[in-house]
Amino acid sequence: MKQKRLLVALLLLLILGILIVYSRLEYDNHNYGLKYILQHFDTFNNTKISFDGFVTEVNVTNHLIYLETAVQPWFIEVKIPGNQKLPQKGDFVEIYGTLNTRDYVTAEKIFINTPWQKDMIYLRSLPAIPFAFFLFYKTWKFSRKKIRFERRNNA
Amino acid sequence: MPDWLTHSLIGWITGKIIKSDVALLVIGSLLPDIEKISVVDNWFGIHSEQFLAPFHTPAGAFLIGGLLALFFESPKKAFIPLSIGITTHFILDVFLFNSSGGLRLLFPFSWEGWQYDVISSGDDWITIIAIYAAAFVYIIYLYYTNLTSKNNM
Repeated sequence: MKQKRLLVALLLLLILGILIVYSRLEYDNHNYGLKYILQHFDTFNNTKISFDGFVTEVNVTNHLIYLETAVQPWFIEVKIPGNQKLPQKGDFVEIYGTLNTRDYVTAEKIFINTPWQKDMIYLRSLPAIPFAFFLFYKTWKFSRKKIRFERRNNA
Repeated sequence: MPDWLTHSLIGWITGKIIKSDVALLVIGSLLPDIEKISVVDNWFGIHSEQFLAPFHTPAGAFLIGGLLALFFESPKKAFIPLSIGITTHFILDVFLFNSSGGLRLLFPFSWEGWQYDVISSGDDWITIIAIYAAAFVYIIYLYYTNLTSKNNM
């Protein structure tokens, strides 16, 4: 029985290992960050792209925002639909839209997060750790002898 | 990703409703976010996303669930709530807008990203809804537990 478990564990680890190696080799070919998109502009011209970043400037009159980029042209102009709220300078935005030119995107969707909202997700996540541990150890205990978890008598 | 609190509460609610192992369901609901170790790695300048990305796919998460289940008396019985928890995680995440392209539900067969762009990861209203829903389910659970114990007396 123990040997069967060990065999299954090794098999699962092997498959997981293959997935990790495959992901390591192929990841960059399927994850297009804004830097990659701009470096391969011809491939992405007039296609739908999604990216995120911090707003560096806001043009209220023309409903435009500007985001810094890590490569040339060093900034990107994003046209925000008239019916959507404009972010403020410093906000973190997630954008889905069409890349029209190397430095211009027409947004279809924009999600706006203030800088603290972005960090709050990590703070909000913290209570889940003691919550999960509490529930788990209330129900299960680890038997070193059998190297497995056993249900507690009162659970 | 919605935050872990939301994931764990939805896992807890699901466990209570379907009367499954709540503890394992909550653990399952958090398992795919093992990938988030890469956030900590990034703080130290290590880029581990390429290695950890499979954990945030159904294939990788169920494999981890399977491995974890082997450490229980009955792996099959443990795997079921873990899998349900993992499933609730992906159901929640698929509604998120993800600027990196969405969930890779068919990995390793396809790298296509799936997302319904309903919520942003920064939105806290989904957490608030989850807290209220969990409180509501807990009250109902207490009510029925009391009712059952009274009937048994």
